[in-house]
Amino acid sequence: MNTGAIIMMSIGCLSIWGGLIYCLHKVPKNK
Amino acid sequence: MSEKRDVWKSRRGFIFAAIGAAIGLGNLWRFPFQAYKNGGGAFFLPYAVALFTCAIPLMILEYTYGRRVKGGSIKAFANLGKKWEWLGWIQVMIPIVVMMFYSVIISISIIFMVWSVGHMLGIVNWMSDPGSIMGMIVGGGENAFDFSAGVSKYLLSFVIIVWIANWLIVRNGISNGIEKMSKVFVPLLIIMMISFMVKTLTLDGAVLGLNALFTPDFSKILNPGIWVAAYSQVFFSTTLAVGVMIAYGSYLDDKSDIVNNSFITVLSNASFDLIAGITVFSTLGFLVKTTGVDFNSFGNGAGVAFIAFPIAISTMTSNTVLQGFIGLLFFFSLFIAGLSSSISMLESFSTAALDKFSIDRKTMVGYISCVGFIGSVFFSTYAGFNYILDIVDVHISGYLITTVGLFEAVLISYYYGVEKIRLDANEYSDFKVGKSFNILIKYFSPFLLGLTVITNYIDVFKKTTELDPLQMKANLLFGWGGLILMAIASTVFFLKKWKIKDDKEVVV
Repeated sequence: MNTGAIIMMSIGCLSIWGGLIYCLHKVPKNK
Repeated sequence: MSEKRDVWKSRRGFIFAAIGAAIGLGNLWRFPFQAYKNGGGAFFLPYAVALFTCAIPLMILEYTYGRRVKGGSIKAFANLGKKWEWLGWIQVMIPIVVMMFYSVIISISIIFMVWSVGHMLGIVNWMSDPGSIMGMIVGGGENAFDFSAGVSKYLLSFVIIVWIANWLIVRNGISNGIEKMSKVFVPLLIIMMISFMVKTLTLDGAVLGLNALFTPDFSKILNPGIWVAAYSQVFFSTTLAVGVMIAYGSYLDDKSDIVNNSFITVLSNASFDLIAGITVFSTLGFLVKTTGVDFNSFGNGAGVAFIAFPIAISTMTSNTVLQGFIGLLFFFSLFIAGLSSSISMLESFSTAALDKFSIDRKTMVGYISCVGFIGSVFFSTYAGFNYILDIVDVHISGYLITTVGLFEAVLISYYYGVEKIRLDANEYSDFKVGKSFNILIKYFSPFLLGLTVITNYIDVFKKTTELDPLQMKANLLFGWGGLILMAIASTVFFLKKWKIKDDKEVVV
């Protein structure tokens, strides 16, 4: 893969999936 | 006495149902090509901005206002002023009309599931040539008025199954129907789609596809068209402004989280967009390398799912049992993605209509399903599927949804108050939204939605002027005619009296 594609794929995946994991982490355990 | 209103039994159930409503077939074939056409990797910048400045704030608005009014769209709009109820009816008409043709597309995935079983058992061998099967299912018809071409018996037979599935789930209500179904099928869909993504990433040529999808072309970033495309993509993909999220929000408990649930719904849908993009383009890259086609060979719609994927599966392995099994899983995923969205569309209208009329849920859902099925019969004709479906889709998504979304954001902000929405949403949420939320809902979202509406109007109008007289006639009759029919039906329902609660007060 070319560098530009790797960078943009990483940014896309990290921001969206990272954001989702952060939000799921914020859900209290008992809910 | 009126019956007690249903509520979501668990937070997990609500989130899965909302994710199921947002995730649909459009994720698989709309997002990947929007990104590919609009700057590749560079598209992710306006896309991410649109998620945080439009989709999430509007999702918070719809959940919160739905929960506050404890009702669907017509009650929600009627609370803003009696005359606005009409707009609520228009809003809930959209998902029913969309469902009429969406269920026909879902039925194709069931047909392909059956064919995959046949392939697995060695009865038919079709995966290397899915075009002929597709032609057999939907082929025929000269133009939009050629009803003499007849009706596809395949679509007609299987669309009945789709409507029965929808009816069986929605008639049981929120906690016993939609929530139970979503808690099983949505996680299953997520697991299957992640598995497909991982598998397609290992294919020879997947890198070609990923390069095509993610290589950024930053020269396009200053083009306003890309920003409008990103806002449209996010808006349609998250099922906003069609009454679904207002209806789902109305069944939330008063002490439930709103803000984090909105973030989770929108980001899950965006994650699915990304998974779909990687899966589709890895598969296309594989086909480009092995068969010499190009990325546009299968179009940018259903052709990718129903033509490119079976070909890719047949090229991956020569074992027909395995080919059939992978095909069965793939088309089952499409079926679940479609069904979890279609039940939310049926629920949008049902919730709204149940607020106004004294009819029990089972009867109401039965009536709506019968009317919807009759509409689906129309789209199962060769003329209906091949010509009229696109016309109706363009007019509803191009003109109506964003316009209604614009009105929704403006009216709720000004008549109800955006600060009240923010405080209400924050009260029991895992984290809070600041005052920037007010600016986004009151000014930023309406401005961008307004821009999207104007751009869509110009775009659709331009395309209409390029049509030949017969196509123009079809556009006027089925496109504008359909919109007028929706307006008339909305007026009829609007003029009917509200049911009386406890024989004393009017519900609204």
